[in-house]
Amino acid sequence: MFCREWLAQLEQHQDDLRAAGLSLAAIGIGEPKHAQRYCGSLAPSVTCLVNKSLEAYRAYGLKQGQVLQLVGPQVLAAGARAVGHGHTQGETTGNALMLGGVFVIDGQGIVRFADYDEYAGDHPVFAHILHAARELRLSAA
Amino acid sequence: MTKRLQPGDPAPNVTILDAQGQPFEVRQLWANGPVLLSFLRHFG
Repeated sequence: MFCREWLAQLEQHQDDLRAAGLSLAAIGIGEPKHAQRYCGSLAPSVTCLVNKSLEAYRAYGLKQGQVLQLVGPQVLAAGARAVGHGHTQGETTGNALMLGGVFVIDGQGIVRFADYDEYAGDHPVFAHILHAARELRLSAA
Repeated sequence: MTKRLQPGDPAPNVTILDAQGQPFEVRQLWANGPVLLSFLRHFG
């Protein structure tokens, strides 16, 4: 449900994100058919990719969560928030133990913003992403 | 041991798959400009 919630937020904020100069992409764990079915309906404006081996996750410093990061009080609160916004859990594919992350990468391949989930359902603040993107535009001008 | 990336670090380029099952180099994502790249916990 947290991934559905995040993709919905990307769709909701896509105009602001694109205005800030960002294209949108997401990597999930599973098979290509899962990306087609999952992202195609939830986030048609996002380029969805798959990585079943977790090689990309490891390369970007992402890890599996510990128990409290996966089922602790913060996760329960985040779950209530997500359900309250209509995002329910579907059939899970891949690795539900993995924690996510969000990165802004510039046109030269340099990381300009990095946010790692501290627990399942921990999403970055969009204002922080937009700030990083706008700083990037200013530095490129 | 996986190391968290920080602003200023080069973004790793790895080859994964696109939604059609074709090989895709991640660096293609920023070839035409900045990208917001999200890693999802899973599909579900």
